[in-house]
Amino acid sequence: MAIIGIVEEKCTGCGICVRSCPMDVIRLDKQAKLARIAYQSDCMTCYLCQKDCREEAVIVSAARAKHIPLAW
Amino acid sequence: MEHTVESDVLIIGGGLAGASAGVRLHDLGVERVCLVDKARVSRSGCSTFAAGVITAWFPEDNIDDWVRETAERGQYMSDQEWVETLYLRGYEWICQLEGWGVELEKDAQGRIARVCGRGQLPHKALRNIMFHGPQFMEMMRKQLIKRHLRLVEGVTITDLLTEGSRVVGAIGFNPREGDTYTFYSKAVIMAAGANAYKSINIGHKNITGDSHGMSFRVGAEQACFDFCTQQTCARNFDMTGLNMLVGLGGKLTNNNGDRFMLRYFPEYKEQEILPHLCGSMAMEVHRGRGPIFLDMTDLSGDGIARLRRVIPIAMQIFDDAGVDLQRDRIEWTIRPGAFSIASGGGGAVIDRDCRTTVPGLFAVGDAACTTTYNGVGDSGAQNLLWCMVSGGIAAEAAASEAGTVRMPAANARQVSELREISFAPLNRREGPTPDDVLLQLQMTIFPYTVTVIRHRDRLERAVREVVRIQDEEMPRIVAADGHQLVKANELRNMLLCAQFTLRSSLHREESRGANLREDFPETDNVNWLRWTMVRSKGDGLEISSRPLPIERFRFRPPSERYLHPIFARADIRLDKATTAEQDDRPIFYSSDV
Repeated sequence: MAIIGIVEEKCTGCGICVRSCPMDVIRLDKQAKLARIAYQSDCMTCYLCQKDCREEAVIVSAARAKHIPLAW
Repeated sequence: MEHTVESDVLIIGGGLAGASAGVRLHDLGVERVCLVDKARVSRSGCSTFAAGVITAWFPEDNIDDWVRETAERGQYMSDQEWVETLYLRGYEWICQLEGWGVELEKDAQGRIARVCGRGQLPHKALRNIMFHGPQFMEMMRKQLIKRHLRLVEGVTITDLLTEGSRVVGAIGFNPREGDTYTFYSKAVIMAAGANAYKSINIGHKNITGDSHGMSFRVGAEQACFDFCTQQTCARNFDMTGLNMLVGLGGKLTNNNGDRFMLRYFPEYKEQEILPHLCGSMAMEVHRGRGPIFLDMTDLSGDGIARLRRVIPIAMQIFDDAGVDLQRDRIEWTIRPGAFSIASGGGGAVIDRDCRTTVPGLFAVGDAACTTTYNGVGDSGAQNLLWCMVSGGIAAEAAASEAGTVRMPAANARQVSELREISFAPLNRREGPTPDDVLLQLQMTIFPYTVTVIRHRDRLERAVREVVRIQDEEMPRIVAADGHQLVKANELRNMLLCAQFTLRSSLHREESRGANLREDFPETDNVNWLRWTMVRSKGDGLEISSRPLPIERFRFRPPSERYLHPIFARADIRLDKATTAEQDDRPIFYSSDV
């Protein structure tokens, strides 16, 4: 979960989301000229990629990307 | 590709502290300044996700009142001379921010609005100002670019370089391109933030103790990791902004519907300092009265509007999670592994110029020991102020130093030896992944019976397991690519920080701040007005304590021992009349905002 997807039809391959992600979750597929989710489980659901995408191509959900132990 | 970068001053980390240092260095006329960050300045570190508030002294305030209140709230563990410097010099930065166009909340007269937040009360001195979300760090980025600072982004620094006893640079790599980097510099400012063990809470999963691990490995003394405090968070989704949420009237309740903070800390209630807030929540669970809820159902429409301006990301998460703050109670918990985060706690020991104990190396922001100004916990939101003030002071000293020392000579052998260690996981084919090892660490230190309500037996067991992970798992850890290699190197630092905190906690035989010891439940101002120190010794570390220079400070606690309120009040029953008498007015208010 966390980052769910990048809508191919909207993505222009500009790379802004790649540069925005503090966790290196998104990479640019240079051949396809599209952003792709490379390491989804490291997404920290910060919404910066979605906020910065001018094409509204990035979809993020509030759910955590993976199980993290809790204190209780 | 190999890159070599020379500069007069190298800044490691591009959050608010590093960016502030960069701006100041340029304005002092230092021409060759390089700032390196493992992500992108304005999208990296804690500052981007800061909860919209800064504790700010104004000239019309009485500085003595501010220092006294900060010292008291921090249980007298802060350095009061630094606290005074923080507020006085912080005002210069607040004026600077406004001049740069940072959007601050204003009052009806157009002045910067000041309000009470968590850790503050209307009849006391401390006050916060509010800014609007991530635009703060975007503005700092603009200031750096305007000054033509050299920004090297997307590069993870793994180790510092030394020449004799002096720090002269750093090495790192870019996980996307595979390029390696060597930095040589006359002075190095460490600004790579704190550590949150990739726990729950947005925006803190790329702060992994890199400052502390790297500076410790070159011999920089660390302090006060026993006070590294926890934060709080929603149980089911990552969240930030508690300062605003409780400031606008949010109440914490247990499974019986009791507003338990009235029992533990009736004066400040939910506005208590974080270690007390987290300790109280954990004690309720410990006594079988969990789970815990955050109740904001009394929130006004104006309150919702303010939250959307000041913490927009947090509000979007509430929306996406289907939470209606005016309708739903939210299950709330502590962010368990925050053994080391800005609100109070460990870091490198610094002098009044932010010099560490190692020549050539400065520490700012969360890289420096934050107990220096916060004591055991934040009485508001001094963290961002500290980032700017410490960044500026370190810049002034580093600029001076860079004018007097020569450029270091290249040392290919040292670079090669350090790179062999940091790159070793890439050369292995079988072994645990970084995620496997991280989970082992989290499961060891995250239980509240280790991280919050502590006891010698449990701390010792955790130390043994962390050492086992370091000695048995880390030498086998495998990184499939550059991305995994970043995580493997982050683990080196997180494992060190875990040992600093566990062993410092064992050393402090009293209960104070985040160090709630079931086996030493008293706060002991007779014997423990001391800072806990961590030094490297051989291949390991040595813990000791140092008396506070309390004779130099104006404000001192009574020389007494008393049962810590969380242990003393865990089982007191409050009758309904007492509860009803409590003032329920939201704290985060201002009549003219």
